[in-house]
Amino acid sequence: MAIHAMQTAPKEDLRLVEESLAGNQLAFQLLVERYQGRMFALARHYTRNPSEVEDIVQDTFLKAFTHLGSFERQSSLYTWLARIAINTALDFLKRHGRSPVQAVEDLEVVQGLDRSRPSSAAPAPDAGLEREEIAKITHQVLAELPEIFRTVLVLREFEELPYQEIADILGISIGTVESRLFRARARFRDKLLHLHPEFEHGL
Amino acid sequence: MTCNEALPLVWSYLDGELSEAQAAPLRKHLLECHGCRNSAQHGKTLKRWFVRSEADEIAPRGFAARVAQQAFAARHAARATEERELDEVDAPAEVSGEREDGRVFAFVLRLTAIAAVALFVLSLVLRFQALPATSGLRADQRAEPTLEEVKRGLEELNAKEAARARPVGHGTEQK
Repeated sequence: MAIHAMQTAPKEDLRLVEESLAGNQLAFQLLVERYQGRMFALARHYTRNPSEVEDIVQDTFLKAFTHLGSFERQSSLYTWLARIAINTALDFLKRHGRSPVQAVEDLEVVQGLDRSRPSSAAPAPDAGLEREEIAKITHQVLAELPEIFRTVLVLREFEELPYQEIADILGISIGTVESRLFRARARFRDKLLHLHPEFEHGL
Repeated sequence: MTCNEALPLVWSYLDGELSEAQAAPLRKHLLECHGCRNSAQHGKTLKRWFVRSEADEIAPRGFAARVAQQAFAARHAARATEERELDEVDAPAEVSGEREDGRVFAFVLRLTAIAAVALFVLSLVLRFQALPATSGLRADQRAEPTLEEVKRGLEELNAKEAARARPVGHGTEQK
C-alpha cells in the first residue's frame, strides 16, 4: 500500500497547480486525474449513491479550482483536497436532509472510556474473506458510526495520514485526534460485533 | 516501563506516531509483558478490517476532462462578467491588482490622447502666428482680386486711355 502522507506537495503537483493558475486546462485535468481516485473513495464513505458521490467529488474539484490561488505551496495538496472533500460531503448530507450522525463527545468522557486499556479483544476478519468482502463489511460498520468517528478512522486507517495531518484537515489538536481515534476504534469494534457477532472469536 | 506507562502508547505505536526513542522502551516492555502484548495484538487485529477497496477508487470515464472543462468554462464566464461590469460602472475603490493595472493603463492612454491633441493645436497656432513674419510675399494674399478691385483697375485703364486719346482727337478737330 502506498504511503500517501506527505508534508509538502511534490514538484509535479506544484507544477500542475501553477499551470492551472496560468490558464492551462489540461494541467488541471491532469491534477484531477491524479487525485480523483482517492477523492471518490473518500466521498463513498459518506454516501453510496453513485450520482451523489460524483456530485461531491466534482464540487470538491470545482471549489479547489476556484481557490487554487490560496493553496499554500508548503502543504500537501492531498490534505488540502481532502479537507475540501470532507466539508463538501458533510454540507451535501445536510442540504439533503441527511444530517450526519453527531456524537456527544463529552458524554463518552463522562462514561469513562479508559484510555489505559486501548485494545479489548478484537474480532478478526476470517482468513477466507476476500479483500472486497472485508471492505464491504467495514463500510457497513463505518456507516453506522457518528460522522466525527467515521471521518477520523477513514483518514487514519484508509488514507494512512499522520495525526498531524488529520489535525490539520479537521482543524483540531493532535490530542483531540488521539482521543477521538481511541473512541472511534472502541465504537467500531462494538458496532462490528453487534452487526457481525460471527467474527467474535475470529482471533 | 510499567504497564500503566505502556498501554496509552500502544495505539500511537501501532499508528507509527512514536519516535524511536519512545518506541524502543515500549517494544522491550511488550516482549516482557504478556498482557500488554495481547493488547497490542488486538489493536493490530482491528486494523486488519481497514483495507482499501480498489472498486471505491474508480472514477467514471472522462470525469477529469469534464470537471476541467466545467472549471474553465465557469472561469471564462466570471471573467466576461467582470469585464462587463468594469465597462458599465467605475471600478470600486477596492479592486484586485489586475483591475488596478487596467485602470492605470486606461489613465495613461487618456493622458497620451490629451497630450497629442494639445500638441496638434499648438502646432496650428505656431503655424498661423509664423505666417506674417515670413516675407512681403504672403502666401495668403495670392487670393483672386475682388470684383471691386477689377472694376477699379479697368476704370483706371479706361481713364488713362481716354487721357491719351483726347489730345490727339482734339488736335485733329482743331486742324
